[in-house]
Amino acid sequence: MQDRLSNRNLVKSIAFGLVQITGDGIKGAERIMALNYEELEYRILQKLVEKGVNSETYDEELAESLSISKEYLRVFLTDFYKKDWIGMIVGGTIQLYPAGFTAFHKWEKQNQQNISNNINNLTFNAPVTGFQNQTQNSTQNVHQVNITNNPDFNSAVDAIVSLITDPNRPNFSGAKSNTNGPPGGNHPINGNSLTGGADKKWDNSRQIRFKILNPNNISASDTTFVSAFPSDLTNYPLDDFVGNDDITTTDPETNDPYSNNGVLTGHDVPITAICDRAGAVGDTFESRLHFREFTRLEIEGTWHRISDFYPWRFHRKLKKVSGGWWADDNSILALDNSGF
Amino acid sequence: MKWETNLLLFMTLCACFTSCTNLEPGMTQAKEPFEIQQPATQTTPVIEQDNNILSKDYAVAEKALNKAFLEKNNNIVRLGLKNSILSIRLKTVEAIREINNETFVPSLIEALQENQILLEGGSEIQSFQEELNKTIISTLEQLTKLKFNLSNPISSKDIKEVLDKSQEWCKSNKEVCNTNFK
Repeated sequence: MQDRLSNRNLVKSIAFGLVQITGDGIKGAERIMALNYEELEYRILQKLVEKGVNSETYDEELAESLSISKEYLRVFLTDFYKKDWIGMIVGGTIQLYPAGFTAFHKWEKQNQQNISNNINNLTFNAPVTGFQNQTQNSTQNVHQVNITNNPDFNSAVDAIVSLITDPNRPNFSGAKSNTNGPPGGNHPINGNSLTGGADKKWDNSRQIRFKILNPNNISASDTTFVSAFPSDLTNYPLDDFVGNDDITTTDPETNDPYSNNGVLTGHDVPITAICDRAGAVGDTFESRLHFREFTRLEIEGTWHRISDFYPWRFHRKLKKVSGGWWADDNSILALDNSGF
Repeated sequence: MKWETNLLLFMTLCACFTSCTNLEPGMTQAKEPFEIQQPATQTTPVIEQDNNILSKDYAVAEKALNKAFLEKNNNIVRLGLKNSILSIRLKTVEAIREINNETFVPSLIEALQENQILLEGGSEIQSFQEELNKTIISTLEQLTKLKFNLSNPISSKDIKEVLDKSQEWCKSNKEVCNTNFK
């Protein structure tokens, strides 16, 4: 448990917290809800378990030991006890598992060591080391600068898929249960519904924010934006399970970890280009596209982010050159979200 | 999708999109009688329905499409092919396949041409465009009874063949392609 706490980000990202607390507030609860723990909240829960406390325990002593106000603790616990919980305790400690089934108790004991040993396999593997630019000297009226080293994103979820073989393990296989999900509305650039971003309970997804720098007022109709430039989107979605840059699973994605050695895969090749006829020599255009890859999981019809965010960015910089076309102008592809 | 394919798609951007001037060699712009024509009569407020099915709000456009489909208003249904949202276009083609009326062929030809441009969005959008290509082509096969030999993935050469054959079909079926939409 200490190892998990020391790796707080990981714990937070996979946090489907099943917490054993004996108290009136959770008595009789039968369903599992997911939690996204903030560190403080996690510490509160840990303290509650350590002390063997119940719903009467939001006292001054506990608040002081956590360096929080009594009011905050009360609000937190009030909200906590409102939820519909399954009460679980194993060895007097809080356990973190992505589970949701009636025989959880048995399963949890049998697989505790497996989880402990392998939870750190939950990570992203993005073999993006850079990219190459190519200018196409074409007789056509367009020139495309290409990313030749395509970003690929793999998330290993084998710790909670492949290694758990108990027949009573939670069933996260198959198609998503809510065909109207995942939620989030429409894509901020192309307008397509985000509902198509997932077809299974597991899903490799992505968030986007973007900014367009168009100092020479190039017309949208001369660019890949076609009809109009979208308004800059400077923030990622508030709900961290929303993949606002995920409208389909055919781009391609692998979202069935059970048939892919516990690995989900994703792929993306951003494109921005301008017709040759647009602008004058020396004009510039830049689209700053920032992304956060992540893995999400639908539990009982509700989507949850279960991985850390994996940031990357593509700053497409174009400049009209003397040949009469738009060439690359030191575009940037990097595994961070700097320079927005 | 590999970058070569990206390049190929993009090279057709200005060739096929009406805002640009040049055409890719060998690919011809649709001419009359394949242009979309305005319906002769309408029983409901056309402007409002047009605006809805052309809306950039997915839910609004989808609702307008569903309504037009249920009301068998083919004039409005076909306008869905002009929506900037690809998934609305895709749903429109699926609706057209269900309606199964060959007067939609000219509109499908035009939609196939316009779907060859490169759009902002990368792999996700390109996969959408590929799906739209397939759906349009299969619908054209259904309506015209033509059979197209396609590679996988569908190449620009395939698209050209589909367009050429479909346009030839229209020349041979002027009574269908040259009429106001029913």
